[in-house]
Amino acid sequence: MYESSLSVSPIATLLRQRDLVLVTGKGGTGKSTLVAALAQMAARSRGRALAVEFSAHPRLPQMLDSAGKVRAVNIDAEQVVGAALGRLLGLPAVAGAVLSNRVLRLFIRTSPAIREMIALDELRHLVDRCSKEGFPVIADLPATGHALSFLGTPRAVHNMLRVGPLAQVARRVEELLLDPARSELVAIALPEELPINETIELMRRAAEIGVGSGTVVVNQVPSSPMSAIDQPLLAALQCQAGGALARFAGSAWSDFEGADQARAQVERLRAAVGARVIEVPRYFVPDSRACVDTLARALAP
Amino acid sequence: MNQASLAQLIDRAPLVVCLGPGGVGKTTLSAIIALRQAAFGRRALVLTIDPARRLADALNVTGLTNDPVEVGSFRKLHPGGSLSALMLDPTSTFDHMISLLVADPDRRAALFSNRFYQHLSRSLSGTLEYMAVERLHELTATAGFERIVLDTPPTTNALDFLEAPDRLADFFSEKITRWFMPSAGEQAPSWTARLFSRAGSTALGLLTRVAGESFVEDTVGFFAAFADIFGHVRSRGVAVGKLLRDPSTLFLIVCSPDSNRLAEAIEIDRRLAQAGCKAGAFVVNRVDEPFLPEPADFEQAVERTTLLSGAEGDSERVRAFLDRLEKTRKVHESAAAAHARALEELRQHARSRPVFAAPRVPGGQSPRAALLALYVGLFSEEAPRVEQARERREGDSP
Repeated sequence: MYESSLSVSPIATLLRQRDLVLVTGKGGTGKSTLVAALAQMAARSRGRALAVEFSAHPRLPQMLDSAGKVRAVNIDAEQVVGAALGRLLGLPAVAGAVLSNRVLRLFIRTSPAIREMIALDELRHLVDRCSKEGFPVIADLPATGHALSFLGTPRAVHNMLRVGPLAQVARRVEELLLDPARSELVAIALPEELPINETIELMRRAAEIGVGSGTVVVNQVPSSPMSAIDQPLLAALQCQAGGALARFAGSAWSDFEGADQARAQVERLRAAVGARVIEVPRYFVPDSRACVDTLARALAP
Repeated sequence: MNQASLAQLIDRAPLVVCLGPGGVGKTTLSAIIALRQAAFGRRALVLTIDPARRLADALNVTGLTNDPVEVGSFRKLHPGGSLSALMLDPTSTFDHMISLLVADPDRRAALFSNRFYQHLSRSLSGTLEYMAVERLHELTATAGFERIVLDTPPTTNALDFLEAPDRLADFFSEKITRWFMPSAGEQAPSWTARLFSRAGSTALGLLTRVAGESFVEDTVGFFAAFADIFGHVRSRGVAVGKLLRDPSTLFLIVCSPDSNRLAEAIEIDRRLAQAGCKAGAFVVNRVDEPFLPEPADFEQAVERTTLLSGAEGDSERVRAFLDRLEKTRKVHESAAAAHARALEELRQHARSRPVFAAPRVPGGQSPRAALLALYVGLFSEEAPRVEQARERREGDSP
């Protein structure tokens, strides 16, 4: 079960101190839900928060309370390219000319480096604005493998270009991402063998890139009310009761084993990464907004 | 309604593309589908373009590479067919493509040392999708596999992959390349002349302001070195686009029965339709089946456990046990009810298309044993049971 011996949860502390929290994890682990939950928590302690995603199909708005103090922004590189280039060149008129040039528009759209640099620069821009007003940005990064290449883009671009405005932008973005006082990577995982393998690999490579990575949230950790001393009785029911009861006794035992295995995976993660590991017990809720509330409560009891 | 079984659907399809939100067991299901095709006597290949290294774990093979590796660990299940697996490596696919297409070693070396090329082939997300297209094209054309199952990265990226052939064709289209390339008959450094041509100078001038002079030089150098093979690369993009839209290609949408991922799956289905492809079926993984005893069963449990724990009865212990059993039942009840709601919602969305449910595989197994248990759950009606039971025991042993 989830335990908190501290009066202030580590996640709450982190949300109070950082300007940018980057959230990643294997897809489907509750990544967007965690972004929404962290943004809600941050808004409680700092008055406001901005939740950012990079998606053609934004999901955060439907997860957030529309009356709340969290604003959701979706960064679509093609939409912000004009503003980003304007900043880059210091000349909005020139940016307009760039955009009106069909050849270059197509080039920007098809060149992954430029698209991602533009998205990251827009993120940096938002972080600067929000931190001046005293509240953080929570960013929903792409899933694990893609998040790493996304975060690696500034260095790759910088290495490729060396000089010029785009190289400067890359350097600026990298400075923000690699500043442990301003940015933090929070990973989310499920307590199963393959996702835990992937998370260990993620944390290792994030450390290589140099992104501050202090926290892993393990979501949906199963627990079982049964205990080891129940095994003889469960086994007897399984053999002798027959029907639904026998099958139920069997599945109750496999639940207990499943919970045990999940525990082992969490321990393996703790041993392999230097990061803080926070567990969230398994829950069943009807919709995504209820998921957000459940997660926020579990992270800051 | 007499719908085709999942086994029938996948046996008919030379290319199966598994799409879906992350974390639903898509990679494992892709491997299982290829395994079933192999059991039909086919030469089957599962190709993952997910950059995370999961397939190797599930198949219990180490060192999956960019080339197909035959997986022998389930041989008993497919005596007449074969199962191979491949994990896409974008860099070596790119390099391989270049070495096939550029015959002149000096030009090849120039390309490999071009910074624009290095960046494109090594460091960027998006390249992975481009290269999946290339690899898929190569494998369908030459490798002699009768069945290919393609695992894709989660959601937004999965659809990136669908769009990649068109984007690739776009990227190497005349519209872009002619500004950077020497035209036929002109000598090599003629790109400088391009700089001063009317439209070209606007484009390159702005690009130089944005990205710097050296970037433009490298870009122009890249396009110049690539000149001969643009048409080739573009036609590959077009060919794979056709392959994906071929009526024989089966798109399977894989998801799990929770509300977030179900919504994502339905969204993928809509976008797939917009892209001119149609999902043939849905597979819902990890569905909790209700093993829910009735109150009468619990009365029976009270009697049984009282009896079992000895006639004089450690009634305290029995009560505590039954209490825990009842709590477990409540958890199962919520899970099964939530999953039934989700399946119903998806069936309504799917209309005439089949929705297959794969039961949750109990925890506490090795990836290999879990894979086999899922295989049994998904294809139980046709699979050779004795063989499976033996495999399962072997899979369980450490």
